Amino acid sequence: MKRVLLVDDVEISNFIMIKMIEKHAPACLILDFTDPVAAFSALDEYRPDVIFLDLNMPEMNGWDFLQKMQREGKPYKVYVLTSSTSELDIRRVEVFANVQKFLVKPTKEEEIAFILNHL
Amino acid sequence: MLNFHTFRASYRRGTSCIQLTVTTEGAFFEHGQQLPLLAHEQEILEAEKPRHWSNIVALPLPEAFELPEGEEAQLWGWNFNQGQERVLLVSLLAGKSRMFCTNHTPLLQLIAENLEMKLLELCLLQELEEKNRKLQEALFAIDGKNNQIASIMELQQQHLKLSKEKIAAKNAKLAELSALNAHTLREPLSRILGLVSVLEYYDSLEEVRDQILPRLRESSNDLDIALQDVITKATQDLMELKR
Repeated sequence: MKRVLLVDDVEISNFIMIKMIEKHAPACLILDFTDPVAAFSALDEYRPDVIFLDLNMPEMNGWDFLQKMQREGKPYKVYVLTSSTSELDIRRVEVFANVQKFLVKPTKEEEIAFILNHL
Repeated sequence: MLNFHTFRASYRRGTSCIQLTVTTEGAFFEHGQQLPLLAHEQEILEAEKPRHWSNIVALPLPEAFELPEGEEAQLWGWNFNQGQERVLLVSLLAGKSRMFCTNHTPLLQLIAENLEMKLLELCLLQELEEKNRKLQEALFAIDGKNNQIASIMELQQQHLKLSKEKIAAKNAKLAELSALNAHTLREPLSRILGLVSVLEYYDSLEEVRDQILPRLRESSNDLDIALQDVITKATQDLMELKR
């Protein structure tokens, strides 16, 4: 069973993702966090196959999250999921080898389905 | 051939005058407009015939006409009338040690006339030199003006560069604003769109009312707030940028 980790400070965003995953990849195990610090602490215990990570978050934003993963050598696959369309953000993501793709909200069902069914 | 102490020739062409004085010491000449004649020259001019003075004490003569004691001065004056507003007056001062022979008068006239040509040439050269000097001054002034213009141009270029930089900074600020605005607005909007997408999964109206509607309401409110924020902030920023 594939393990999915959702990290977004807005509960509604996680809710939408959960509904889409349940619909298109019902076999997945989902763990969602609105607190990125707690999400990071859960990484090694949960060992996700994929992380959907928001960028704009208080306390620990997506960049902090990615840098901390890099520093601590955590190789989990990450899909950045953000409502930012900034070219700067898109380019900045390239630095992180574990980031698979830069996804712009609203999330496309087909894309989520494709990602989860090809893990 | 010619014996004398002092030789003087006064030339006039219209108002232009040349006066040449030659003594045993040397020669000098003056050139100008309407130079005054000496008193005895005035007499020669009016008499229109040669004059001779044995006693020059009463005549107001310049330094060049002073003789050593006991020289027994002899002063001659000729008006070699040349017509056509041209005047040539020649004075010659002789004495016991340097006697002048009146037979030499034609020779004197010839010399005086030739001298005029030479002197005219000199005057022209002098005028040319003066004109050249003025031209040089004018060139120098133009050079100064050119430098002034160049520095004004440079100043304007600097102004232009500054305004360009200002505009570039304003544009950068505007771009930053629009990016920020886009993100702020897209966040709640993307939630609404996402909720609309998952709405299709529901069969039960009750579940929709429980799960979707409150979240749709919250996201719509967030969008409204974000929109108002953006408008207020954009107005403020635009006011600032206008300054």
